[in-house]
Amino acid sequence: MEQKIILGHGSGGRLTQELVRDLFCKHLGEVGPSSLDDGAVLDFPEGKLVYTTDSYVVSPLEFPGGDIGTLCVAGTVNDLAVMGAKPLWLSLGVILEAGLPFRTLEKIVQSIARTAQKAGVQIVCGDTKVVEHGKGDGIYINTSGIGVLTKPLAEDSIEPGDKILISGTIGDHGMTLLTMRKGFEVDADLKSDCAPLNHLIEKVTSAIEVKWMRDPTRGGVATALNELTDGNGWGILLQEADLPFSEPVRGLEELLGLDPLYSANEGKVLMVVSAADAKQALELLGGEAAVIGEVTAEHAGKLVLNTTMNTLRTLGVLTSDPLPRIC
Amino acid sequence: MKLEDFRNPELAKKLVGAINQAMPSGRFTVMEVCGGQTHTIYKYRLRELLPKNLRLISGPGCPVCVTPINYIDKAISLALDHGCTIYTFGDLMRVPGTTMSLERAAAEGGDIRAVYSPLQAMEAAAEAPEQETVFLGIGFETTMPPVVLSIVKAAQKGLTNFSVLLSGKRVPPVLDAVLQSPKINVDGFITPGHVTAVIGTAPYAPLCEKYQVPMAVGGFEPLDLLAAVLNLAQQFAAGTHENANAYTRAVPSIESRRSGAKADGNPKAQALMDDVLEVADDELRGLGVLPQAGFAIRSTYATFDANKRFEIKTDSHEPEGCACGEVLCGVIEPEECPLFRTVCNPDSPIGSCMVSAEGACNAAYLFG
Repeated sequence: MEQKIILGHGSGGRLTQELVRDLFCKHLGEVGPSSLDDGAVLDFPEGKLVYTTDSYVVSPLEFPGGDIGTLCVAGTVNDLAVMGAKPLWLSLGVILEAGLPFRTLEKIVQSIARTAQKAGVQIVCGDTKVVEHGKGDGIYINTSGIGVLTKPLAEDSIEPGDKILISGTIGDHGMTLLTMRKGFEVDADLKSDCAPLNHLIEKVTSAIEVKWMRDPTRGGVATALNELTDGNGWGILLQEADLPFSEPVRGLEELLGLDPLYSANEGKVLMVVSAADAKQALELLGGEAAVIGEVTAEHAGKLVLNTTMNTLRTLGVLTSDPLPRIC
Repeated sequence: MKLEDFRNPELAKKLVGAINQAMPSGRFTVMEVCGGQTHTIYKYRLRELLPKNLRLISGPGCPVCVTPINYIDKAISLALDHGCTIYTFGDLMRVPGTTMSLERAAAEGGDIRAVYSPLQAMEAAAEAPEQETVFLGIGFETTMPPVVLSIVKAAQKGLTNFSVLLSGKRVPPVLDAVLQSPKINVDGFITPGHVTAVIGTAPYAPLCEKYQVPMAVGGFEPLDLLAAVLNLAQQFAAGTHENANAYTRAVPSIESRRSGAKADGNPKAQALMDDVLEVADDELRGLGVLPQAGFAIRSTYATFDANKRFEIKTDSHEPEGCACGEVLCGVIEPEECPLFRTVCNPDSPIGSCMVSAEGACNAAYLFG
């Protein structure tokens, strides 16, 4: 019979120990904790500490391009990286629903291990709880992350003429999750962009000064840039013609009338750099990275789009979320 | 052709040039009937590109917007009082009813689920034969064929637990009401492309004749709409009132009909609708009860009619101060409503026009 999570796995007793040892520790391997004490004792390098936390409730648990395991590492690593920090350690808190097949959990933990390895971070502590069948949705995960601040951002030095860059195509994660929803029978060749960005970001920040960074997750590019312009004496003008979209995302946009500028990304970074540094930054980011706009003296405090019709339209923050539970 | 071709800035410039050249002097008001068209017009700020003496106003073609508040109340009552599982298009979820929205009713314990197609609701009903399952069938002629198909399939399967709460509207009688209204003065219409793909261009012809008003079928991309405006500008200049087709990629052209190559509209969909639905007087938010403006489920299919299947009691009244009724007939612009942006926004909408992506208030809020 297929092995499944039962309430006993959360008892704190023998079954919990077995689960931690034979599943979590086994698959996490060398990126996993070095001891099973109540806390991790760590040597912190010189400098300032950056600390973040995020919970993951994505539905479905698996999707093209990743799963909740990839996401829970990449998301927290990226939050640290866009702060200008080098991510070091993650905690892993999982809430399991009784009835979750071991096979599914194993795949998720393998994704966690693989992604942590890729990002070069260590899972140093963790916790497992089990809730009754029907009271959860397979698995919920919380990860907290600690990094050391290596390249503090210089948001105060942003000025008109600075360029806005994105590291690749826009909106892939959100649109992919949308097509995974029950009853949505669209055969689009879509893939989530879910991936840790810390190495790519380090490549850029070690070469040039990045004034501001953000991984545009929920709310998408438009919401992230709105948060940047809000309350400032300058604005941002985006060029619609320069926005990189994958073909399937563009097709879905027409079909559903959803704006990918508000769709989540899980493996893209937005950057503000000086005009002089833009070319180099673009080369370092590589792939489908693009300069999508610039900081302007006009439109103070606003994010404005120059449409392909050559008309100007203000982009506000995401209002009603068309798609909950994407991360 | 690719989607970008219908957003090509060079072609747009040429079309705008042609519109400027064609426009006669005097002031003209054009109504874009469909909410999808309104969305594009706001999104690309097309009004700014047009001549100053040509005004675009939004029409009543947003299905969520014209759905009367009583309908939302009925749907909520079916969920909470009758224990039905409700399936709905997602954008209806947030529309405020008299006391709450469907979204809120779901939080109160109602089993209310968003789907993309009525057939999903019918299939869910087949899987749970003990559970009363209701699909909220709202929309204009475009949405009616799939709704009707779900009823036909439910009948074929012999389902006894599936019904539709219908609020189907017909575009031509609604335009007739707009043209009769003393409050609105429209010189030309951009008629809805998707609806016309179903009903054809013929049903508009009597209106062009009766009110001496030109019409042009329009699509939903910027160039589709500019092409329709150009056609109307040319008609204003020539003083004609034809029922033209500027959306031939979705609606087969009149020429091809004459040659007998292809029929106008979709006769198969029309036949399907006629089998299950009959034309009926119907209420639209802001316009009241209009003759022949909607559909009712024929008595042969009465068992699939939620209105007949359940005794639904409601006590409905419109939210105070909400001007959705006037907005969706083009009498006022969204910004002229005192609630706009002050207490009414997409996160906590007061009226239906703020909810749907096709609503003029929603478009004006997001893209204004």
